[in-house]
Amino acid sequence: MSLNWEKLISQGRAKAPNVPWTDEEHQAILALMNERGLHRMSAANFVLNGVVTLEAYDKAKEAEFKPKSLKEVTDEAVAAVKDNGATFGATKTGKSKKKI
Amino acid sequence: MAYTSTDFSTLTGKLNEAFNEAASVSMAEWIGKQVFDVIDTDWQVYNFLHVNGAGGGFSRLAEGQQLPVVSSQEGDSANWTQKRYGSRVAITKDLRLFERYDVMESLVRDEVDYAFNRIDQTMADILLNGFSGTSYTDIFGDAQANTSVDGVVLFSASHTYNGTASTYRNLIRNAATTANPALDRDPIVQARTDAMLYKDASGINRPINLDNLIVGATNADLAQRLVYSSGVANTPNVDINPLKAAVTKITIWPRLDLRGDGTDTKAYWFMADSKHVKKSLKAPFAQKPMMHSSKEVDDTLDWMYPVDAYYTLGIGWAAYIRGSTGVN
Repeated sequence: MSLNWEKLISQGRAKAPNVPWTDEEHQAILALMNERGLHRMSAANFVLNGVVTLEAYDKAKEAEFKPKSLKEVTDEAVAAVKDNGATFGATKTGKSKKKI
Repeated sequence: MAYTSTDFSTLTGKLNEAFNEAASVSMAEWIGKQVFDVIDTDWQVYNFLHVNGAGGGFSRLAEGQQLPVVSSQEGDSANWTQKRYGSRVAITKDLRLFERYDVMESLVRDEVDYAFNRIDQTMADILLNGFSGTSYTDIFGDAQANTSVDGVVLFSASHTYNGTASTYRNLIRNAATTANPALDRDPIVQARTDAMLYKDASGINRPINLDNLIVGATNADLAQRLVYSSGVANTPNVDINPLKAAVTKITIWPRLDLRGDGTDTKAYWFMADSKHVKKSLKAPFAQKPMMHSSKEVDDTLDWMYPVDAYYTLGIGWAAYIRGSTGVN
């Protein structure tokens, strides 16, 4: 079964491709929405960054913590890999040599 | 007189007849078919799209006014890929030489029964695994998702909609709002109330009528007493039992008593809207179990009759099926 992960992630309704929220994470998102008035996407970003309780959220706000989105985290990870000289997601060009 | 290669087509015809008879019996006893949408499809990848319901449209019109166009709200979608399952029935040389047609027929009938048994268990397991996690290993060893199209586990207190912050529940609770209550009159009434107050993505009330109580063999007697008794238990005789008219069907599904992985699930129970539950539970078949004619004689001189099927299971819009583990 393959869901429309792209849409679900863009709406904060899934954690990552093929990764739904756990029940605890899902409840945390709903609590942040209902108790702190956050938009679902914003609540999802906090939970993605490990903020899964209202107390943790309040402390994070006090500390002016800005949660990163899945895209930002992914982009940073790709950049870090590239900085280390590795290629990520690159496709090979040229003719392939047949092995006999 | 022994069955020889010249009898091949005659024997195949007779075994096919036995297969078809057994299949028709198994189809009639196939309980999962009553709650799942068992459809024939020629799509290798079955596309499911939920429509949240028409938003606007039907309006008061002034004289001569143009009729407004209905705008349906697109819901969530999913793809389910067909998988192949099968086995072979071996008609050995011994069986043919000694004309053990009774055994041959029995082998075919048992295989058909077993195939439908396995399919039915995979359907029951979708419900029985629908309370936690995001996937499980099915009886065939494959990973099976147990999330609905909204990415939330099948039975949840907070299913989500596409494009709105609202949620809905299909996890059964009792009047004291405790989730997963044991089968009793109070949670049945509460589940029916919750379902009747269901609102779609636009916030419009779309009552769901939970008229089908689904239980395993162990809970069957209790279910029947709760629903079919003319009076309510532990009340004066004048108190009627409204569930008798409201719950019009009790589905007793023995495979609900034990999950495919051996977990005791006899306390689990479910309720469904019999008119719409097939929007929630999907079982597209590219091919129902079918026996093929054996064309090759094996090295062992066995005649092999392959039996195979193609199907997949998926969870659509989960609002029309409700569940409880019965632990509370």
